[in-house]
Amino acid sequence: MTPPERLALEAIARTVSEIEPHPKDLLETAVVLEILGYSDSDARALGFRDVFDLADGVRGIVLPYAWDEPLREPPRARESGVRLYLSGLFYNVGWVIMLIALFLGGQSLWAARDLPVSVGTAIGLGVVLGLVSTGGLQQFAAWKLIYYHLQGNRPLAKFVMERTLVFGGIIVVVLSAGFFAVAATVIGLPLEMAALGSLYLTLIGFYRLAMAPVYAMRKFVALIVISVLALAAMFGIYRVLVFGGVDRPLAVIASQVAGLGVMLGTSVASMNAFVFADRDEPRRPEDPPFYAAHELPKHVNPPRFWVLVVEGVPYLLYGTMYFVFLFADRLVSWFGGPGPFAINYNGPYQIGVDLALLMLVPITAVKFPLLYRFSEVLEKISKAAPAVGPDLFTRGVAAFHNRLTLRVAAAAVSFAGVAFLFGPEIVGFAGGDSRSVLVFRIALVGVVLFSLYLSNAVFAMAFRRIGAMGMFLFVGAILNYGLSAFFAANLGTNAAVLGFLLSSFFLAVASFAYLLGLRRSPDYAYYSAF
Amino acid sequence: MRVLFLVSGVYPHYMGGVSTWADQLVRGMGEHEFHVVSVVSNPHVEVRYALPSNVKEIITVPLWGTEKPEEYLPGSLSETLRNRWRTTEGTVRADFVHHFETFLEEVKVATPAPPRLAEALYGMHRFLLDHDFRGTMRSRAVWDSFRGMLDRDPLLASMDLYEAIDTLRSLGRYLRVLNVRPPAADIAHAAIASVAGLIGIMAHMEDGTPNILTEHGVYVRERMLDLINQPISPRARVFWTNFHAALAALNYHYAERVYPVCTFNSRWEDRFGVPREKVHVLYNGVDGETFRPREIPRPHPGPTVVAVIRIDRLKDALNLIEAMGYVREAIPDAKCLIYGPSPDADYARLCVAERARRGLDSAVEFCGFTQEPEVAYNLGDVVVLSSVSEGFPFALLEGMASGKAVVATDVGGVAEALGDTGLLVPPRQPRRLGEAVVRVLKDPELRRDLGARARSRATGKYGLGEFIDAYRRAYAEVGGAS
Repeated sequence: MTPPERLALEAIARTVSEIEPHPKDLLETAVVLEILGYSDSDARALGFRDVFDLADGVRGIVLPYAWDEPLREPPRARESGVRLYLSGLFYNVGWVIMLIALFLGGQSLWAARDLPVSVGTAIGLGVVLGLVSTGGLQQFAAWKLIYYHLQGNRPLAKFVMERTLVFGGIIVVVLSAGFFAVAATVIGLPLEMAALGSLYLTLIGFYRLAMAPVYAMRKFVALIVISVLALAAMFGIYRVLVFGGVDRPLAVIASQVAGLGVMLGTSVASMNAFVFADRDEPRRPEDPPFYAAHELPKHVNPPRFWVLVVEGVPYLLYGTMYFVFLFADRLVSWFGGPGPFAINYNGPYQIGVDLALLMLVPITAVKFPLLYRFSEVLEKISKAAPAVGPDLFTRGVAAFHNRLTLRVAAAAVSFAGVAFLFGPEIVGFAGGDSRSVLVFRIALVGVVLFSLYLSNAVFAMAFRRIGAMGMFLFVGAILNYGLSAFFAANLGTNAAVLGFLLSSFFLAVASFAYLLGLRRSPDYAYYSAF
Repeated sequence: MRVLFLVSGVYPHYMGGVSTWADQLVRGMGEHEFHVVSVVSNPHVEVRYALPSNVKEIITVPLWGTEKPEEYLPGSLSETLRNRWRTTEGTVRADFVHHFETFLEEVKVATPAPPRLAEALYGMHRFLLDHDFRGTMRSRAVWDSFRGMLDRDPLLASMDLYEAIDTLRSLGRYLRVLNVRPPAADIAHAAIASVAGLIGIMAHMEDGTPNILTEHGVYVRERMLDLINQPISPRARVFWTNFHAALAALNYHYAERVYPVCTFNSRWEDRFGVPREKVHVLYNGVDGETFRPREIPRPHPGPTVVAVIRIDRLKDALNLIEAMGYVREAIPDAKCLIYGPSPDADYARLCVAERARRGLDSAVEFCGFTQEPEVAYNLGDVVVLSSVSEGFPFALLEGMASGKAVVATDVGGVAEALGDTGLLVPPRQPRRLGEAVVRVLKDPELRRDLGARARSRATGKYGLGEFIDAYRRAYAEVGGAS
């Protein structure tokens, strides 16, 4: 090669390096050369047979392949801890409303105080069935909505929401009619009370369905607006009615129905805005008119229904069993009471258990910032760990789970401890008596254990192990029914809370045992999560 | 004859050059039944072509955008449940993993033993037809065998966990084609040497269906280009380059004929060791009736340059804009009409900014997508193609058939297509491009001569009838039809 040819070759190599600093081999170099416009005739002019031969020459000059060259990644925005804490708080918006309603207004969605037993029974059953019937569908819809939302696939997100509303709506309406019939005949509630229960079931059921996009897409501002408007409506109407001389039971019912109505209306409006509104991506003013952004077809090509159903079973199971478990002991406590109905609302029990469950609100808020960043943590430690010896990853996952458990345990014990000490005052403020205090204190221990299960469940769900967590809830719900029925029969109705305590213990132990298995090979769990 | 027609990212769901080719082929051979398997990136696509009656079936295989391949493949609920029930760690370990391990060993090197790789893929395919795909690929057995492969490879052993997981998950996406049960056919015709072709190879393994392959671009070359721009580590890039090379090698091996659309492509096939006797160049065809010289009122009465292109980096519209600066220096009233959309917002903005920076706002007009390219070509005196990479471009053939003088960059199969009926310039050299355009614009005699000869060449050598006849003969020879 002559010196001028050598110089020309070096110039070509420099140009190749600008596009690809370390071409892997001759063929990759040839690809770059062709993109640069070099043809066989150019190669021949430089004394090479063809582009491939020229690529071989260039390969002798460019830098060798850099195997350990680090990848440059763009920095990521980090959410503030305070914002995450508040987000976690509002994720439990239902409980938050109960908390505020109980302590500020002397009433709750549960109508826990000073209401005729028939009203309490009707409302209680309506609320329980509303939550149980839609809990699974809400989980299912949220799973699919977030999947399509992240793909930017609005038509299919819309399709999922439509189908959820259709199926959920049928379930809610049929259940509502069924409840009316059973409440009026088997339970023996007066017709207007049976209708009241049906109304609650319907309002809460549809509200839960309509809230699926808000939860799935983490629309916290909407969550806050919906909660504030509902509370304002409830308290405002209650005060106006009481001021106008309306009886307290009627004022409570009217204000709660109005509050639920506002929640339903605002959640439907937000669902419409987030999912159904036909919004084309706004064109940026600087985009030229000939820029044709990729658009998904408006026509929806839905996945096969049965495949989706089979896939969705774990979500349906978890979402449904969550509420079945949570209300099992309460329903037991309603049986066999002294009132005129086959099922009698047990106010003292409700107050005790509900107040204890409210501890979940601050506990969830404490764990939320940690869990929110879990996916980032997983990515970071998996990038630091070699694939063939992922001990570092195993240790990192275990350390994260330990930290999460300790944080949740510390928060739960602290909150529950304070609540335990001030039990009589707290319960008294909410209108409970000494029976409620005992139930409250036992239930607090159960809530500590249940919160550990919940934190394990969310941890497991990061690895998409929702099916196992749903199965634990299923078994836990059966245990809760069985044990609380046993204790209620032998030690009195309010002893049903021991069923909640022991079944929560089961959930905590079972979830820990499961996660110990997952922690032994988290690399496989991470791989198989998606 | 029943034709299993295997395409990826094109007909009938996307428009473009290869889709035009496919549409022409399917329409031109009305005597054959076409069963189209369209491998697409996600399932949310629409059929963009009016399908002729000989297209009997379209099986859409989305690689991404779904959680399970079964979401968009035919099958009953009982089958779905049965497959799920059958898929256990035990069955995967006993009946799938040894095939998967062989597959991994073969694809991690760029030069696999095709029969061994095909046997492994066929074993996986048979298993996946009556087992749950996701359950299989997410099994511990598959993860263990993948990690075992990494462990045994001195280069890949240094992969970090994140990268390894990402690699195996992506591999699972590509392997979704193995879930497709190929319709019975007399011949399998793949339009790309990628995973789409595997469906034809599975049909061959099942009942000896003969395969042919048409290559528009060169699959491995395109993947290499793509991988250069991907933010992945060098070792991952090696894995993926080798994987795609192995796929291409398998497609080449099982194709009884390989039809590149130009000789330029056949150089690459030669490099990949495809026996020369298998390779036959079959040029694309152009409809000389639709694309012909027309008398159309022109919006710009002065000298006009037309380009009908997709406005992106490969078509190098910036080159054309800069070239127009040189054209305007020599011919102040010259104008360039660029028809076509841009899928790349950044590049589109860059083009507009470059036009303004060079003071060419009145000289270069972006006219957007046109439904009537046959009209667009006739609005100019010269048709220009300024690309840095091409196969055998329809835009060139259409411009030629429209009787226009063509100035084009010498890339891919452009020189073959144009012969001596147009002017060729090196890519990325706007001054040379501008000078060639000026030469043609200033010389009406040359323009007329080039245009007439270009039309004659396009309608003669690259006529639609010739194109269809060539494939008709190919089907008859390989598929046994008369």
